[in-house]
Formats: sequence, structure tokens, C-alpha cells
Amino acid sequence: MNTQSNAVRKIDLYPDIPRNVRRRAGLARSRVFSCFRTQVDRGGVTPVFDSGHRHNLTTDTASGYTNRRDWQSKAMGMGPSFAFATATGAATATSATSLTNSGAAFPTAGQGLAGQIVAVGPNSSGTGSTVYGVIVSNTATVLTVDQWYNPASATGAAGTTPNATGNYQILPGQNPAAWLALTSNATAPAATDTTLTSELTTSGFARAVGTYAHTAAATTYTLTKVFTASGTATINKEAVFGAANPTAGGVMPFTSAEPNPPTLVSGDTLTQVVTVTIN
Amino acid sequence: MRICIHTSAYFDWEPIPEGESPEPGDVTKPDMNGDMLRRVLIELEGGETTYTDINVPEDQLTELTGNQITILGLRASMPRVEGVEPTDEQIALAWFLSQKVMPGHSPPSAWTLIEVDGNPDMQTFLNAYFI
Repeated sequence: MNTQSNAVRKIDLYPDIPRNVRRRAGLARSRVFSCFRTQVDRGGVTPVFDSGHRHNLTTDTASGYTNRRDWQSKAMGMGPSFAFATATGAATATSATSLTNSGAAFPTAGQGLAGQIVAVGPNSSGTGSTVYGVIVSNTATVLTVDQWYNPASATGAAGTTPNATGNYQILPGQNPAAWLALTSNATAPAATDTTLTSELTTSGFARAVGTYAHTAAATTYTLTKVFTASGTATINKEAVFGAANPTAGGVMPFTSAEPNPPTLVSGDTLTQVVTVTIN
Repeated sequence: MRICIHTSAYFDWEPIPEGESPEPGDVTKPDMNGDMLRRVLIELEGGETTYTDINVPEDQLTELTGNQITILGLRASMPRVEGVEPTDEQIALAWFLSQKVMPGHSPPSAWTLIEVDGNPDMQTFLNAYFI
């Protein structure tokens, strides 16, 4: 469609935009969604509390990399085209949460390398650990990770800080969102949330890797975690995260509030099942 | 611990037809529009099977076996299998799989084979118990 204004002829390259503009309408709806289910067991085989399946809130506000759509897009679609000259190289310094290459030119535009994995091995002399980290932010020369992971651990256990001159490689895609977390904070979840306020870190309620399960050809996968209480807490919200360290956070694609928050005492178990549907 | 459960049927979800309501016993969950989905069992034909891949972090089993309240309750209530004296870890995993993980995937009655990567004792126990 062509439009005429003040004798300047403009070409409308996107004639369908006016009818396709949508306003964000509160809670995001999407083809990828999850349901949370909470059960509390008290020593028997029948739960004493069962929330049933309840809908999640997806974090789809454009507030940085920590939203579900950004994470999903990069996890499913980002391939070798992301590569750049210093995606592989040797570090010039490392710490418990960072890797520096003073000669690098890491991309910083937009979300930079957030959510991607950097794998680090021994240096050219063969010295140093083999670990990986989830990049939470970066500058042109420094990658900040939430922690260094032991690649042989199924629980996301921390590994040894890599050698200061270790060889690294930044991988395409995103780290999976496989951690489940809880809080007693009762504030209603919002699509702008990027963290779980007052996330529980003690008494058996700390963030932990869930058991992943998927049946070939089915439209869902599940993440399941049984938390064992060693103290008392009321659980008001749960969330899924893409990193182990609650301080650094990581992507939080899904969160959900408990309509009837259960209170656990020492010895109780709380089962959190997140069913993610991909149609 | 990597586990693969082969099954002749699996659960999936379908919309509840307009005008119908969930029946007692139906397992339901809301979809992205707030409409309800109903869990259905997809039975495979002609001897065909599918499988569920399961990755159980080690600390999940450590945590469960460390909770003697749970283990004692489960040991007392679990059906006995002749000739099988399960360990705490076997009890915990059988309960975790059948009661917490697999209700979202398939019923034990449809399972045809359970593989446990690198743990033949656990594999033997689970097959004796469920298959």
C-alpha cells in the first residue's frame, strides 16, 4: 500500500501492521505453557495435600533475558550462526563466577551471551579442571557465570574454578531450565518477575534440579522434585529456573502461586511437578 | 540415574469437547486459554511401544532414603514381591517413579520393560516389581 503525505511519497513496506497490532493483555498466553501440581506427604502413601494441576504464569515481558520467550527461542533456534571470532580461545583470568579474555570481543548488544553455556578445560599445558558455566551477563572481555558446574554431576554440583589460562568454548543455545525453587513470599506473581522474591534456601527447601521425564511422541515433559522439610515453612509460590545459584538467578520461564498454600513441618515431603506442554 | 520405561500406552491431553464437563475421576488441567484439558490414555496397536526417558538426580534418592518416616511408611504399605527384599533406595525409587513421576506419563499396567543405565540390580528389582 502506498500513502501520500505533504507531497512526499512514502512506501508502506508493512501494510498488514495496523490490523495485526495487539496490545499486551495482562497475563501472557502462549502455545508453550506449564501446569504446576503440589502434593504434601506425611509418612504415608496418600498425600495429605494435593493442589491439583494449576496454570502457570509465563514471564514474557521484555525485561531482559530472563523471560520465557527469549530463553525458548534461543534454546530451540540458535545454531552456529551465533559464532564469532572469540567464541573459542584461552582465558587470561578466572574466578569463582567469571572468565576473562582480555583480548576478546564478546557480543554485548541486546542480551549479549546471557543464558548460553561456556565450557572450560585445561590450559595449553594440560593443567586445570573441566567445567562449564551458565553465562548470566557479559562485557566485551568478561563472562559472568552463576557458578562453575561439574559436568559429571547429575545434580548440578559446583566444580573447581578453571585454570586462569584455561581453554574455553562458548556454545550456541541456552542452558536448560531444570531447577525448581520455592518461596514463602505471598505477593502475587507478575509477568515482569525475573526472580522469586525471598526464595527459600534452607530447611530442605533450597533450589534443586528436578527429575526430567518425557514420553516419545507425547506433547509434554515433566520436572519433578520431592523436597524433604527439615523445618517449618508455608509455600506460597514456586518457579522454574535455568541456573543453580539463587543469587545469580538465571532465566525464570515459569512461576505459579499456591491458591491454598500448604504449611510443612519437619519430616514432611513436598512434591512439585511441573508439566510443560509444547503443542 | 538414567531410566527408560518402555510402555504400550501413554498419557496425553485433549480438550474437553464443548458442552461436556469433566467426569468424576478425570484428571484435568487448564490450557493456555484457561479452557480445560483432560488426560487421555493413548494405547498403541500391533505390539508397538514407546518409551519414557527419565533422568533422576542422585541427590533426589539420597534425600528420600534419608527420610526414615517416608521409608518406613512405604516399606509397610508396599505390596510384597516374593523373593524380593528391597533396599531403601529401591523402595524410594519405586515410590518416586510410580507415584510422583509416571502419573504424568503412563500407568504401570502398560509398562513392558524398564532399563536402568549402569545399575543392573535396580533394573532387576524394578522389572520384578512392576512388569
